[in-house]
Amino acid sequence: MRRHSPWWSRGAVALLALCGCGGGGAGEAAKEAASIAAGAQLAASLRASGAVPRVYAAQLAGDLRGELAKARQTLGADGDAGAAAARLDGVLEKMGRAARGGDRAGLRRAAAAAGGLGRALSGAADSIEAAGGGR
Amino acid sequence: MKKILEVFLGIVTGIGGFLEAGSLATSAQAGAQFGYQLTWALVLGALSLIVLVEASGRLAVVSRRTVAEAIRERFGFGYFSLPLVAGVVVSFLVLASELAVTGVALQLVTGISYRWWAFPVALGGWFLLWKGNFGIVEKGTGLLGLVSLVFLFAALKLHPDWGRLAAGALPSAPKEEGAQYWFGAVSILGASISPYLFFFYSSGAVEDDWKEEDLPINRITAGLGMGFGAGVSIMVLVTAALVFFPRGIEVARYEELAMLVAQPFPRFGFALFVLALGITCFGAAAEIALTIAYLAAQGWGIPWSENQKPAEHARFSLVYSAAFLLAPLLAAATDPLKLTNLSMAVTAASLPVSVLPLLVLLNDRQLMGEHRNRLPGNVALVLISVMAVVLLFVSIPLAFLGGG
Repeated sequence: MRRHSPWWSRGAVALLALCGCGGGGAGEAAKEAASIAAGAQLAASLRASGAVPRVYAAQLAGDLRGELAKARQTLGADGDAGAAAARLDGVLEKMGRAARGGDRAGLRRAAAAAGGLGRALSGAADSIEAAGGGR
Repeated sequence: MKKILEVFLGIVTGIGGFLEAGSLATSAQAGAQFGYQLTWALVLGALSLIVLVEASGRLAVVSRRTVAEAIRERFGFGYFSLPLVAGVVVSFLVLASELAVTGVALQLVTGISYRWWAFPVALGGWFLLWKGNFGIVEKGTGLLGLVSLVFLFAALKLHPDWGRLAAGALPSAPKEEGAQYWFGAVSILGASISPYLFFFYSSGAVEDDWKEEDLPINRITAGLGMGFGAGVSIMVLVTAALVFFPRGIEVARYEELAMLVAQPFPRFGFALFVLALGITCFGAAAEIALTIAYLAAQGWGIPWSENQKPAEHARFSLVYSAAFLLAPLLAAATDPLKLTNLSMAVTAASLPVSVLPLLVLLNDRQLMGEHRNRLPGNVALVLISVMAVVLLFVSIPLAFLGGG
């Protein structure tokens, strides 16, 4: 069963979100992390094939790390989702380095790793929500 | 021949000028999160916009007044202050969002943050209005905006499931994430039926000195230009439904949208996306700043025209100059996507004060004569008015519940 917060608390969350602060429950955070992983996988493979420029891939990796940091605050370090998110942070760091250095093999490895972590995070999000830890 | 060219230009600029930060973001977010399921909101928004734009153009042609002037004269300044304040506030938010997103386009190629680009972009927009005329602002940016057709080609290359797309054109309830689904629908409607569009369009009809023989052009431009323009927005939704939805990517920033075009067109998709994003949002910023000046000038009865030198209409020029001075401050201080989502919800909430008076004005025998609304036009306007009132009550709460 989903837990519902009062409307004023959701309002505060939305206003904080406008400034780039705040976050939701653990299930929502795991879903966001899974979406970040999927985005990283696509961006890394597009850069590896030369479809997007180096500056774009490097900057997106940095931006996605920023987004992931917010999700990780909610997830914490423990549990499957927290551990997968921590590994994803490392993958994004490597992706940014590979993009800046023009290392296409590194980008392909980052894409593959992000894909695996995305599936793990998605599964973790389902488990958290099934256990009642969603927003 | 001149008329045919005018109709052609009207349709083409309608298509090229349709896509902007709001329609791009809301369509892409909808496609990424719900696949084809929110197509109906785009179709409904497009139909409503066609009705409103045709009506505001007809009002301007027949009465020789813009929508703002007609509302002020018919209802008095007391009532007019409502659409004036709502229009200026909403347009200011949307202007800031367009400046920020034009900055994002420049960030994509330079790596320099959109926060820095917001100021030179605003200066460029101000320069365009200061030196240009109405034709350059409307048709110039609209023609260049045709690069947004890249979304149509991207969608075709990705081979959408036309049957499922057609099914999405019929409203359906979401299986989960109801608040986000309805917030998505409200944002799409807010992005599609922006009051700035019909305030701008009616001012343009007066600027271009349209006469009664131009009424068929008005009808065709409104119907085909806006209709095909909305078609481009639907193609954005389709590409997001085909690239992001199956991978579970939810759009959290504008930068991610580049992948929608780079994926089907690896060689030149990224460059075309940057051009489409930059040109359409820059054009929209110029039109919105001009609309703020039109609203203020028409509301207070001060002389206005984009076709005259700025010195001849100093107060009019001062308004858009002030808008371009202040909007980049907001653009630089906020997240572009969150600002866009919020401004689309506020736009949806502001619709009734601008839409409801149209129903009265278009049935005014003295004002409209033989061109007043007939039964189908009234039925459409009543339905849009009812929808606008519903949006007034649901849009802001949904922005809080659904992730504004």
